[in-house]
Amino acid sequence: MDLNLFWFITCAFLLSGYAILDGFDLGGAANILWCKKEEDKQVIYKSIGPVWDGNEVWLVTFGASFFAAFPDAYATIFSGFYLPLILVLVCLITRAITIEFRNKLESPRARTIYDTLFGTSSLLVLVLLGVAGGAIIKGVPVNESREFVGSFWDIVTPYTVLGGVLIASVMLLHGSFYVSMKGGEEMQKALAKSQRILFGVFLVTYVVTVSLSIFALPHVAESVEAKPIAWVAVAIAVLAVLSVLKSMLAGKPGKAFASTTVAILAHLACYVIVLFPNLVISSLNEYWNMTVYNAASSQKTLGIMQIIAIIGLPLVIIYNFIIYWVFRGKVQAEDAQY
Amino acid sequence: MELDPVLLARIQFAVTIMFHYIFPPLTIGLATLMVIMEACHLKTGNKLYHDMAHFWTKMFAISFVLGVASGIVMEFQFGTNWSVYSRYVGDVFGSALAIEGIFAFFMESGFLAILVFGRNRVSSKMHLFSTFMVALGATFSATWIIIANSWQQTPAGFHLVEHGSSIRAEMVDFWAVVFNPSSMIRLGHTLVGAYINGAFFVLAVSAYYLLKNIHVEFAKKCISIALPFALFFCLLSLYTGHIQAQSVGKYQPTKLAAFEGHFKTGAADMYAWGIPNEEEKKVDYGFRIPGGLSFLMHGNFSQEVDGLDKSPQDEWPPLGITFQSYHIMIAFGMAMIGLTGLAFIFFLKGNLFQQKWLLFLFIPALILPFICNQAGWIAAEVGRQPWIVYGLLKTKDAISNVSPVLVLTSLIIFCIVYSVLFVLWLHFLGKQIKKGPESI
Repeated sequence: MDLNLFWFITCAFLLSGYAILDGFDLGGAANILWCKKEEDKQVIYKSIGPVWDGNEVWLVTFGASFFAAFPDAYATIFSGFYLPLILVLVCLITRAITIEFRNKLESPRARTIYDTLFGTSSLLVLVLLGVAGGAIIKGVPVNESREFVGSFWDIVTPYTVLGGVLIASVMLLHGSFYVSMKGGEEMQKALAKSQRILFGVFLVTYVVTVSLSIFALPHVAESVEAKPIAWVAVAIAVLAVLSVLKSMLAGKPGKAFASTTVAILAHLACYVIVLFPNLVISSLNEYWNMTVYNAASSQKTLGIMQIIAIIGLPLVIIYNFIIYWVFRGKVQAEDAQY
Repeated sequence: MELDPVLLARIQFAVTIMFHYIFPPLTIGLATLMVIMEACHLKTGNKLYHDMAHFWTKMFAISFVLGVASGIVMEFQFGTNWSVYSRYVGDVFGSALAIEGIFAFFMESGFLAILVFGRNRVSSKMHLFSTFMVALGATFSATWIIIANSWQQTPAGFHLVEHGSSIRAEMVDFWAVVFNPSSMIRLGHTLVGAYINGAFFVLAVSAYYLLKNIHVEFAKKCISIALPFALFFCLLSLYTGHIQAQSVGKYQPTKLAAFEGHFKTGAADMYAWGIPNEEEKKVDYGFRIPGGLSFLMHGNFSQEVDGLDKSPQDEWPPLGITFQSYHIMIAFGMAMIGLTGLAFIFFLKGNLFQQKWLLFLFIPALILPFICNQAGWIAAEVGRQPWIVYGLLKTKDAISNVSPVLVLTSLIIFCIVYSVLFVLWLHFLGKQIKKGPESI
């Protein structure tokens, strides 16, 4: 495997970790918007409280690794997606603060305000990341000198907004199963109806987005045709979606959560396979596309960083295993708060 | 009015980094003290130590979350506002950030969960281990970010290569990047500043309790740990500061000359205060120790030190800010040494806790380490100007091609959000301090 491919896969791995982990905590958080009872809200806060920070580290490390391995693409995307990114940051700040301080508030009114802020900022992060993902696969106006030359409306288009809704609905579902699993029967009952609605929204946007991607974006269709391996990921993805439906209807949040996890990973795999070798697709001229080869750091650096990754990533997995092991099982009433 | 995109991007960076930097030194210092307290508990079985660790963990957690929230912005800002810089240095600088993520952040955040939320789920030994790992993770994080920043000050281990239509720096020697001439010296001084900050926080809150005559045993025990700790690191800062100034003199002579307003190459004076006058090339209203800087650099009062005249005037950093922040850091640092030294003498004599006036001084003194840490960094970063990477790339050439209106908008958003965060932080800290330590 060449170093560029190694780093593409490593970045995809970090992004996958972020998607399934922060996915459930952002998605779980957004479910607070339709939780009425204080006990249900507590389940959400307590199941996410200890882990959100670690989950967000996956995003930070993804960002930094992307910066290290593909600095040109990092510079183009992050300066190009300026406003959406600033909004993501503000939302991430808002949810960090609300989750940490909410239970220190006494007034019920202040608590309700915090709940709403917590839920909406989490929802917005998901929508915005979905929009960004849509814009990347669709292509954005990038010129020969690798500068983004479009406007906000080249990033926010009907197609990308659809991507935002898709990501939000699947992550809300994913998170809803997570908090049901951590909370037990009561929680499961409270969320059952919203889970069915979310699944419906997901299914509709899913079918529309996939069809649009294949029929309206020629480069996507071409890329799928050229890479038969994409079909393996597609098959797993579709089976996982069916399994989500089955476990949801059977009222088994644990299984449903496992299924959404597989579904998210498989879809993300499809996404990066289709994108490869591009990192930034120029809608102006395909010769200006930025790829894992022409936007990368030097071979020397990629090689050094490969050693770092081989030593470091197993540690990352061990640390994550330790936290989820310590906080395994249902949320407990006596779980420490500070 | 024409908006200056470089100035706006710089202000935004300054605002976000200075706000962020309120928290890391405090939490690094506190985490280290928490490790000591928990270890004392495990060793002696005295429950008071346990309550202490528990109480400071709460203060730590309230501050840590703000560090995390404001830190995420930093990670992405290089891309949003400084894309030319990112392309130029990503190969080297990006690598240090990635290592920070992989080796420090995961460790820190994982064990933080156990430290803060896992008390009832793990043994005391595992809890102590988690506290230690959080402190270690925070130190690793400081290490890598300072390596990255030091590379901007004293770049090493790279070569310049043509890449597409531009030039960029590529790593040739990893260890030369890590141990670039200033990285370890600057790391030492920064960590010392962090330990002092944590200790002063413990001292201020404990002094408040003693003056109020509440939680007396708790406060005394806290002071007996934090005071020697503070004094030790205050004294150590003299040494770390000294070798750092020598390193600046060697590798960034223009910066050192700006610190002391040393215009003309020759024997160099040291100032206690003053106002550098760029036009007349002298320091106004200054109190000076003749030959002081020469002595500190070379051990004798008349040896030549490079002055600002060695470099063209358009490569001078802004003299006023650099000079003043450097001197504020030193003056306030001295004040901290005086205060902790005096308190330690009373402490040894056994009557510190009767000196109400001295205890009272520790409350306003809490501002000193915060200002020192900020001022030190202002001197270091403003003193690096006009370079973003010393001698290689100028700050004005490093920004993104983003509309200044966007930068201004985001700057205003950050200012509003950060003001709210700051108020919330003070509010919840205050609430926790009022509530006091609990016995669990």
